[in-house]
Amino acid sequence: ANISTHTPNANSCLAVNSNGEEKKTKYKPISLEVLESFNPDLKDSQSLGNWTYTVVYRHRDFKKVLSEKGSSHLTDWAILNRENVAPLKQLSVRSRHISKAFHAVYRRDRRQAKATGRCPDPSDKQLNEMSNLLNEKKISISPEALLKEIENLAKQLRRLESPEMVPFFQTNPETGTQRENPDLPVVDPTRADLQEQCEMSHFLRENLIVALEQAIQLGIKDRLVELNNSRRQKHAHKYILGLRLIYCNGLTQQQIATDKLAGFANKSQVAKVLAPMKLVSQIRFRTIEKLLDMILVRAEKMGLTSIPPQENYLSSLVHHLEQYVDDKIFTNATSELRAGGANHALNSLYASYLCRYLQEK
Amino acid sequence: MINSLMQLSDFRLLYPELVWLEPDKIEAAVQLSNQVYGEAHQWSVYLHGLALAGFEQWFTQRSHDTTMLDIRDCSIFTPSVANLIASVCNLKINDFRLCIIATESVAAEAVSMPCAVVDSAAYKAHLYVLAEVIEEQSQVVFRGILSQEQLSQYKESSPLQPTDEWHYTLPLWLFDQELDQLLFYAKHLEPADISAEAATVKTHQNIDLISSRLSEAAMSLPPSEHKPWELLSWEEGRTILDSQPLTACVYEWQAQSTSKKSLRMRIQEIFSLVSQSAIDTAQWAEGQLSEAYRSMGYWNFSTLASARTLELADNDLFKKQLTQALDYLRAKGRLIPADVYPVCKDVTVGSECFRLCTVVFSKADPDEDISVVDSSENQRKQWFFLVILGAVPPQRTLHGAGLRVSTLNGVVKEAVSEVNDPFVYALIDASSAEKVSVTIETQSGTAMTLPPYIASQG
Repeated sequence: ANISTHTPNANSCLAVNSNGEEKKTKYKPISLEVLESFNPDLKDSQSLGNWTYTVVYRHRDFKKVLSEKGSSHLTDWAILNRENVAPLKQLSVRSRHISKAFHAVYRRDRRQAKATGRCPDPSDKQLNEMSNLLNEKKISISPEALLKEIENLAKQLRRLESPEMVPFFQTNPETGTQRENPDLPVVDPTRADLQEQCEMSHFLRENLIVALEQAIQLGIKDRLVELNNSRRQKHAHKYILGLRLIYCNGLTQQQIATDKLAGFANKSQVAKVLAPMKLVSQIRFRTIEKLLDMILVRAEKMGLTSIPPQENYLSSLVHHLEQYVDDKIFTNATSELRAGGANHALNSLYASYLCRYLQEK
Repeated sequence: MINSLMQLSDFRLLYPELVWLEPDKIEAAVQLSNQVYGEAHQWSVYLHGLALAGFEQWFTQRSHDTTMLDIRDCSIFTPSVANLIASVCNLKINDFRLCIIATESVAAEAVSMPCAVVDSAAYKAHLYVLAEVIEEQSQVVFRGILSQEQLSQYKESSPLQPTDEWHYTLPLWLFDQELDQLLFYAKHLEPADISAEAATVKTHQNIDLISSRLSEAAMSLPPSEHKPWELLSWEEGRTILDSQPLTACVYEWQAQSTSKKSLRMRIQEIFSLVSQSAIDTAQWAEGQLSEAYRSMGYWNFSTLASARTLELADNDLFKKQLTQALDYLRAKGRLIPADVYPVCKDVTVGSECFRLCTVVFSKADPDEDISVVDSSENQRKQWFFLVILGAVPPQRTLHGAGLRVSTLNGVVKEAVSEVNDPFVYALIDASSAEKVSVTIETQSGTAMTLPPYIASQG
């Protein structure tokens, strides 16, 4: 395990690897960033949990990841298109009318044209129509000025989306003293029957690999069925080979794209056909499914549940399984894919069992 | 609110359940949205159409058993319902009912759900799915699911208040289970009975309010430009949604395919058909009239003599007029048997008095194969109602009043009197055992709907 400590030198940390050797590294874990910037003594200071949220949510790298996933990469027009329930109430009457006019024209046209993809800038014709609609509401505004106001409105809507913060301390209005905010969310204590937990953990440990192996087999089959029913079906025959290149030969998607034997046209095609993350997600589902089946049978034998089980029992069981399999297998399976880029073989537990299976095909 | 992040596994934080939509699915969603009224609602239905498509895609990826998923009864495919509820209700996985709620943003940490999917037996679900639709990128991200059980627990601690637009606002953290959980529920649990209604609705008062509000609103703007949730409270909305004919009626109103006058009448008719018990007219065909019906003001000629409701002279005159009317109809080719037993009722509509006579008769089904030996009970009979509206003697004409006979499906017959007509009539086939309502309307527009009839198949 690696243990990092913070030194007074900015931008670098000491890292200690499992051999006990010290090394300097540029990488500062975000947990450190959060802790060292947190100040609980401030008036109206936030709880540590909320502060974590703030730091993470505003962190440059986090935003980058999110925007890759498309979360804040929306154009102004898409922001304006959205149904605004809460934020709309915080806007002026004028802004609300402008928003309605925008919907009536731009959103209507987008649907009628069955348009997809990036929202284009509104046309002059559209701006004119909006301007006319606003004139009927006694708001006179030229199409050019309207465009500017619409852009400002979009910016305003983006700002209004910031999550609300809950202060850590609350001042009691009567006594003036401070107390911890009772509205702060608390983590529910789990009512663990220690004996049950112990036996369950043992059972899970014994059966995890069996479940994983079956899940790998099922998951690959699932993906192949999906590929064969999609418009990419003519590439389905490259699936196993392509996965093997990733998981046994340590090739990146870029390298696979250029590999003549693999037969892919470009990196995009590799990504869409092989979709290794999709496979992780499907195998994860199948693993949990299998373990759940087994556990329910066992739990019934042990007298812990009826069949069919109570809803609460089932859902907390699934939650527990999700955490367990993520902890043991899928967090690593995911992070090694995300770290992919360097030319190294993937060596998580998941990768080794997957590779083993692929080699036997 | 930090809970919503803490409950999600690291895996889901890094790899949310995300689906890219194919172009043909987008087109299908647009079609669905074009069937409802109002741009804002059309957009909402459009988003929900996209969410449904995304859900189907996710489902086929996870479980290739497509027989498990049944979308045929989804509320979004019924325009009159989609017009009032944007969410996708009545999606089924085996016996579990699902509801998909679409949103465009989860940053506000709140979810807006139609009241109907929480309160109405027809639209409740065992499992609610929250889908974030990123329209510009043709993506659907499934943020989590909420079970009916959890919703009930939450409602007990925090009673819900409807917003102005027939919605409840719930915190995002309620939807804290992964989408995969759905499949485990469907596999391992038995669905609970959720058909119980939350609370009874004051239908009678609501009906009057609904019809007058809608009629008034139609005077200021065309109905298609109105939003029912801006005109009516949720309680009134619930009255509409709990009745399929009323839901269809409101949709017709928005489509402007009923006149303003007809709307009021239609709503009254539906109310009468839905909430009042029907009068069983089978015995009337044999000249029998029970005490119960007599106390409601119905009379036939044998009872008349004993009750002395009319002056003797008027009685004879009326009998003569009625006989003439029946003969006239027979002469026109109407197959009315010789022996009939009209049942009458005097009705005041507005300031005018009318007499409504109902003749119930049956005929053996002419298409029945006579060679088949059958006891008389099993022989299929065709039932008919002949409804005659006349003036009360000494009045001689109807002054332009009219009759309307309807079932839940719509108007069956309408007859309006002309200047000198002494009566109007409607002859209808009542064999389908549907409830039939009769409405009398005066020329000035006042209308009254009577308790419905039914011809039992006994």
